[in-house]
Amino acid sequence: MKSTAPHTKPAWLLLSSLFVTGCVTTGTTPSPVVGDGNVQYGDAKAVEAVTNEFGSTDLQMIAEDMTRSLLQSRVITESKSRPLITIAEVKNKTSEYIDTRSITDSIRTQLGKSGAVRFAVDIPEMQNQTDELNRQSQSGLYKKNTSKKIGRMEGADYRLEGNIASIVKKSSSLKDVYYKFTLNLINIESGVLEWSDEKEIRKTSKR
Amino acid sequence: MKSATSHMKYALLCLALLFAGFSHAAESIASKIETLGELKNISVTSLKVRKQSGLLNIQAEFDNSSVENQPLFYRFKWLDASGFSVWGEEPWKPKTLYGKQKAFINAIAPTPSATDFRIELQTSGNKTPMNASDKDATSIPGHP
Repeated sequence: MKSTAPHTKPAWLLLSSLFVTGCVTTGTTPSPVVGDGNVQYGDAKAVEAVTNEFGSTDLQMIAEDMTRSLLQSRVITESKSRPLITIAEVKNKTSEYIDTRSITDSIRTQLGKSGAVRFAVDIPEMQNQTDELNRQSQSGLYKKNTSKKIGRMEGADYRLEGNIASIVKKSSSLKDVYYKFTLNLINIESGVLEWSDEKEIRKTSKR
Repeated sequence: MKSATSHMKYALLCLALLFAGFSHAAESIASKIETLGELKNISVTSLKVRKQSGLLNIQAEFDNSSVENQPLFYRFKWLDASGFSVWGEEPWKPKTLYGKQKAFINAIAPTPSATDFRIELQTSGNKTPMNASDKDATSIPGHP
């Protein structure tokens, strides 16, 4: 009886260590997620139908429709060189807060990615542009052959501007919102409206 | 008698070619459509493609066989000749097909490098892979 004890002890130790190793291995299954699972990432391209206020799907659909339409316009397809465009204001004429700059940013990004047009610095970016030019040309800190000269900025051929309007109707059981986004491309030198398109969206919800 | 037999043969040949044409068209439509689950009541009846100003133009005709309105969600994937994606993911777009309506969905490729495409489709009545565990689930794309 006495002789068996020294043999069983290492065997138990070995078994228990294997058990612990197994538990540790299964308990720490590699996962790149930190957190207790309350937060989930969703699809940024999903149809957002949480409320009938202006949402991400509206912004994405407007930007996509306007970009594709503009890419088929004569101004771009018949131009010998890539036209230089600047973004002007898109007025928000609805009763709700809409970041119209976000819409024009998306349009500019998609048009830029298509490679069909170039963009000149627009009004909100002008301060940064002149600051940088002045810093390079007037501070005396830069090599002469690398500092950018004043007076060589390119003027845009066209400006993009537009507006977003809405009509809201409510009954005891329904709320209906109609959005209309209009975008215009204007020849800066001649003042001629060269291209225009609109996107309509209707959203209805039960109250 | 001989001429009647040859006429019969010619007619059969024409019919065979006609059916082959139909089946080829159906096959080519099916090769461009990617449905998330089985589409109920909605079918793609024609698909037209042309190139205008260097950009691919697509026109797909959808047919709602039901008398009920059918919400549909769709988006395009743009590919180059080698099958590589040449544009980021498009947003899902909603479209309502009225009862028994045939409607067109048009799209213009975002870049001249897009030479091929796929249409992703989902209807809210789909039994989608996203909700495979829930047999009667209805869903909006991205909202499981």
